[in-house]
Amino acid sequence: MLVPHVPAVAPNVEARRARERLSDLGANTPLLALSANAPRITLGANAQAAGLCASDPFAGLNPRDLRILELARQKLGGHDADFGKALQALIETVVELIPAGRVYLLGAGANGPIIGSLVSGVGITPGGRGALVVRVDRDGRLMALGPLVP
Amino acid sequence: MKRALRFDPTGCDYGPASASVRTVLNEWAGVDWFVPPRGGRASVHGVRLFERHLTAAHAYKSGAVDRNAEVQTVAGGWQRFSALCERVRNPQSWDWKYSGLKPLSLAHSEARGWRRSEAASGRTFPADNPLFLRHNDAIIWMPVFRDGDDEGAPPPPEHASDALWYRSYADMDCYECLEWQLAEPAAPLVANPFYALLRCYAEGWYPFALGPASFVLFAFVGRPRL
Repeated sequence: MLVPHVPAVAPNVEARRARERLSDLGANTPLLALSANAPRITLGANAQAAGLCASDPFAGLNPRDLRILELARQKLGGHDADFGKALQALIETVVELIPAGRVYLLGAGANGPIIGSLVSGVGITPGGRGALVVRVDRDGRLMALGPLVP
Repeated sequence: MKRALRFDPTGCDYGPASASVRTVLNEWAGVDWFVPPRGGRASVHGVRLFERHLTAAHAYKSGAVDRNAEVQTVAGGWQRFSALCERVRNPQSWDWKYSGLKPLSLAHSEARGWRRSEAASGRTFPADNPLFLRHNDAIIWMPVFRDGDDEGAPPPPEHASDALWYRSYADMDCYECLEWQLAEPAAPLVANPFYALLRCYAEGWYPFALGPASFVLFAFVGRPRL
């Protein structure tokens, strides 16, 4: 599968900024608010431009990540949801499926924070509509895999 | 290869567990990765630390690890290290961290009545702490280390993926260790089964679980550290 490489914007700096912005916003502010003024990704155009594999965008992910994404998708009822709801579904799923399960701030994409697995680097970030599943490489590059809810 | 912390732990308040959290963070940041063991391969200190980890883990939750697990020491270079990573990296069923250590961590948190969301609520843990973000009732862990700030010689390019995967897999143990202390701030670090495990890595002995009762402690060959 051809996976696009989208350069991350200085991951360490952006992570720090995301954290600072999150702190400023308080506990109950939807995380999407973080990126209210950021340019939105139009998923269709983005997917085409990026060369995403429409048939199975998550091919190559490990079974644990696949199971987590699937259950999170089920929690959303298969419908698009804003990023805050998608994140809530992801966190609930991780806690349900993994003992002492936790999620990590992996960095910041163009539209907001990237939150997911420390080990695999797979996470979600705000997309044009709902959440976009991404993978952060160990060299800091961001790969867009596809929308959480296709 | 060492990493830089994203923040200075000494300037942060972690509630009653502050002293132990600072110790864990500073010691974990001080780990020099993928180098021969301190004191050389003949040193048994790392092996003793791993055995201490097994004993403490078993004492707390008997199903977490096998008390009579076989612990084998193996020395070699990057090829051998990567072969071990390959063997444990994509388990079909049993996985050391997910099947053993994380259930141990969960059992401890539940026994202590500790929840991340409560810990980060501002009552027992400062809301502006550098470890957690809150999202409604859920907690998101912040990265402890700065990306791309590794010091020292990097792994050979063909083994970099395995090395960095292994280190992130080990980082999970650091987070378990921190949560153990946050859940039980008065507990001495030596009573925390994850602390002995972290010190094992720090000594230059890299554990691999081949099964619930079979572990390898890998040591890189080369000039021993002092």
